[in-house]
Amino acid sequence: MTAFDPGSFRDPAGHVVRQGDRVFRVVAPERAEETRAVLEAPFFKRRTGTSIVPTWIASARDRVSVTSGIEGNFPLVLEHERIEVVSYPFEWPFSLLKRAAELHLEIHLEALEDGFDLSDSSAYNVQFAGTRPQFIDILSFRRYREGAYWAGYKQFCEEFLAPLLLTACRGVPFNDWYRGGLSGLDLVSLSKLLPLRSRFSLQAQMHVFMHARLMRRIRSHEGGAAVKQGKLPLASLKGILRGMLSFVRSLQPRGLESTYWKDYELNNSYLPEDAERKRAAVRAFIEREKPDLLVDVGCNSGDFSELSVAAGAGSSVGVDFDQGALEAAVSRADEHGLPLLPLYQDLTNPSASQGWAASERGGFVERVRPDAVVALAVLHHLIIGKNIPFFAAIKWLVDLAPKGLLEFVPKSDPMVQGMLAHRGDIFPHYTETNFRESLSRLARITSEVQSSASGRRVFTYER
Amino acid sequence: MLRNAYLMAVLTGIALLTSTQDAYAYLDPGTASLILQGIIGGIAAAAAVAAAYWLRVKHFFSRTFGRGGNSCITAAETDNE
Repeated sequence: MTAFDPGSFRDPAGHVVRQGDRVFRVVAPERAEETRAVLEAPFFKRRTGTSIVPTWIASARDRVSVTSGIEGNFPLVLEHERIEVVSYPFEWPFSLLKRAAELHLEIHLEALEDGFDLSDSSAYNVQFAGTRPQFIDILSFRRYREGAYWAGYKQFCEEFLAPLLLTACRGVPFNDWYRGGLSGLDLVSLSKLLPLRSRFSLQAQMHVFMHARLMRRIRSHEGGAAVKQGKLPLASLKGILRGMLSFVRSLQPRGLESTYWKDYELNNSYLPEDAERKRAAVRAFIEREKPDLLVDVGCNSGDFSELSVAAGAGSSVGVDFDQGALEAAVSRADEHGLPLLPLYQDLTNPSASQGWAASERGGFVERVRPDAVVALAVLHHLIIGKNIPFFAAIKWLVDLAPKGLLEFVPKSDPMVQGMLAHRGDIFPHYTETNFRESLSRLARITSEVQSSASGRRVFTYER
Repeated sequence: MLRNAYLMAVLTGIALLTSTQDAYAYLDPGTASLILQGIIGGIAAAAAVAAAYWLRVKHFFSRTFGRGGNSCITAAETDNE
């Protein structure tokens, strides 16, 4: 079955085509020769495998098989190493978006040294293997033409710089805002939001305030919108890119030094033996199932993802809504070289299918297909914290993966008591017996063990 | 005053845009962004030249008076900022 990737349609120079688990990119005739030259360029060869996705020319047989199912003439077909988990910039914690921005600029500067340019600056052209960014859009590389402007300057400002500045200058997480519009943040809006002190930064003044002011002026003088485009000296282009790179490098997230869940890991009420019981249960599950891809729901700082990888999981996607916890998980993955990708998700509002035709960017559940799920101390936040119906919450987690480990926290637990302190207990069905009964309707329970003195229990299932 | 400064900047940017050059067709770079690059590109290039001269001056003084090889400022660190 051959299908164009629904997110790959803007550039007519080529498209991504998926065939089963394999990923191809078909290239239009006018770009074939240039693309072959990119594959041979020193910067490309140097970065392939570390920060550019491994790419090669598909065999003649694969080319026929890929192009026979689609319309159009594509004399060149490339194959890419598959990205295990496709993620989007609005799901990345601050430090991953920053990392992607730096990579984009570094690759652009290196490509210029070899006579190539980048035709756009889409943040979606970067993907992650663990916390390591990889550039994926090979057709963005064009031969540099003397005097060329930075074609993706505005796009870079909107998709990378603006969201980073919102968090760095205001302490406001960018993720929900980014997801709302999909293509970053509009500079005119951002210029109204940034604090006064950011106006004293020369770089912010140029790339945001002056940029926004020019945009407003030009929008209000429609007739004068077209200008003759002159030449930008190469030294100027490189200067703008280097200036932007040092600016991006200087940005730090505000307000994430101490967040509730980041601190929770240090200041929770678990007894050491309870923590060890829970760890043993997770270790046994992972050793038994050896999942290639794990989703760690409510991952916090990635403690259990780290344990899972050590126990034999191939890689883990950790999801959480706490920005401080996600940053801690990124640090953990960096420090210990873990194949862990921390992503922002609100479980009651997970990334949905959106963009053009509501299919350009896939929803989290359809896009990430793990072999196993681990959800420790998550269900009570959905059921009691967010009023998600009891059975629906369990089903949602079970539907994530064919195998999984779920923890049930009883009402008597201090955590749940705290959640019920200021509200009526409208959850008569929230009992261990009902949990066991519901889970066994959805899947086969493969093990069950008490994980705390307060009566928490860990269940594993297979469906 | 500020409005005039911006007007001057726009005019300078447009003045830099002299001959016609095709952009990569599929992405609209935006008129404002092109004009702005005309303006900040000049600043960036001037900063790069200044940085190169500054390095030469430093090298001259470190060769003449200092202990050789003590300069830790690289071109990348001084570029544009």
